[in-house]
Amino acid sequence: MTRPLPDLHNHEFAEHWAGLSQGRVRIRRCRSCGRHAWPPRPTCRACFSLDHEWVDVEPHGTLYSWTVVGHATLPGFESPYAVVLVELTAPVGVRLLGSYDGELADLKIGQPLTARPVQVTDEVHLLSWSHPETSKNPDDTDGAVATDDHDTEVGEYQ
Amino acid sequence: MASDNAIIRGIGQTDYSRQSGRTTTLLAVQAALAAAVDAGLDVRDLDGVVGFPHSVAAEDLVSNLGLRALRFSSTVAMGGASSVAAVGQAALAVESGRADHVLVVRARNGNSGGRIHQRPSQLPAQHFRTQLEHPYGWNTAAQRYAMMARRYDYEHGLDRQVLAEIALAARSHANRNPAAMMHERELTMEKYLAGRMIADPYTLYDCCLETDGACAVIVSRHAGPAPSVRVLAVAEGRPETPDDLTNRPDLLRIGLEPAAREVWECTGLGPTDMDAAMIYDCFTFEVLHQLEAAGFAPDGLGSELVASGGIRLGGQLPVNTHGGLLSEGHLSGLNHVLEAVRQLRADAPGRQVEGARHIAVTGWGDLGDGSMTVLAGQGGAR
Repeated sequence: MTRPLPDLHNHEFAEHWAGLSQGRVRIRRCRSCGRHAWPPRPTCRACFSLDHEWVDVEPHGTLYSWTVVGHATLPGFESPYAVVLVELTAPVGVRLLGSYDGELADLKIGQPLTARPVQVTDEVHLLSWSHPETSKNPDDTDGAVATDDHDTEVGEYQ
Repeated sequence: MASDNAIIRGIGQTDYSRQSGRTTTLLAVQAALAAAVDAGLDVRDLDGVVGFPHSVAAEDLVSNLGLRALRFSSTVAMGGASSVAAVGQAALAVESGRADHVLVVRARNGNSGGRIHQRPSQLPAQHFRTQLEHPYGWNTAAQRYAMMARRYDYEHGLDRQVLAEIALAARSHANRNPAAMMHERELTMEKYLAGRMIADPYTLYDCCLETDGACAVIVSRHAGPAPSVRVLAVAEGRPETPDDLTNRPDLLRIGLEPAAREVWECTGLGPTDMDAAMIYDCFTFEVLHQLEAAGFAPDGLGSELVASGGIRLGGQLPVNTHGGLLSEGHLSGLNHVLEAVRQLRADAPGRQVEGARHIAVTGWGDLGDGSMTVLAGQGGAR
């Protein structure tokens, strides 16, 4: 069994994954009212328009919430690893899920994080978030899954 | 929905175990037969069935129980909020005259039949789950709800001792319940704190059991031999985005809030009128979260109720006197309905809440769907 990967041909999300492989973070925006939408749905949640487009967003935000998985149940994941939910600086209110490249003990809600696409197979890039000062150049991706780097203990519960 | 005439006439269950050695159909049949005996009915008199998705269907029960009079069936798909919502559908059916005796049954081999992450997911919007979440290793209920618990900690503060108290209270109640899977297993603070991490902040003892077994409830308009327990109201509710947690405007606003509001409005009762509460306890934090969402404590202040010993037998609001999903067993919360009925019948030896007249039961499921009912026994509101 291999780790679960997105289906790059699923038209609901194809633009998002294609964007990541080009180093861009793309989400949906309603053409009618201009509201950004994630995850993408057939209708706009604000105006119920069916007319939408894909736009680039800056991969910067703050940590909205997180968990450190101590008991992995998916193939290709080794515990402990973190899953983070990051609220983008702009557009306001949009959050993206991703993996985390950093010290687990440094996971603190409200902290700024920056995303980079990480190549996990020949075709698939996923989002990995890290603290801005330690962010790596996107060109440095080496095929490793960011979450595989951790060997630290699960963070102390506050 | 307020209910004027629906009562819970009978309850039944199988043993709860890690390995039933039986099919879910047989488990359902056994629980249904036990409930029929308790209700003083010939099982063939049951003319309605409310079930769960991907489980024993009405058709299976027609064949196996001889339900030739079956004229109403439905299936509720709200995850763990389904049990209480199913009682609501049964109440609607008997009050409208669509059926006379409706069976709500939950049977599962929740442990031996495949662990939680191996079972087919019943969550809505599967493409969000498989395409946007699983690739990042976010795939179990514990991991999803952990994100809510972590956010709560940021907004209100969440003490490890409070989560521990929820687990320990559940276990102390189970220790008084011979039917509980954890009846003879004591849980100490030391053991709790040594539990391995599942998904921060949930450690092993913050997580519910996985159980083989079945529960059944019969809803009718008229009482049988057992003291009647009236269904005063049932409501269900959903969060703003029931198909997604990640971009819900406020991650902590859940479907139980509108459901509870409706139940309090319909019944004219309030949280302080409840003699006990059965709270859907898939994980420890969800108990705290729902105590607040249902109005038993102000937002952010549920910890005080818990830390003061308030949710233990003898406390201000005894919670899950059977041990709950954490320590009795995971029958999707239909076991919470059974315990409320036993308490209201004054039939919970060793753990009876003296003089219990009103008990609230909540359900929690999927990505924050909620349901709630208030049941009344002798001397309760009409």
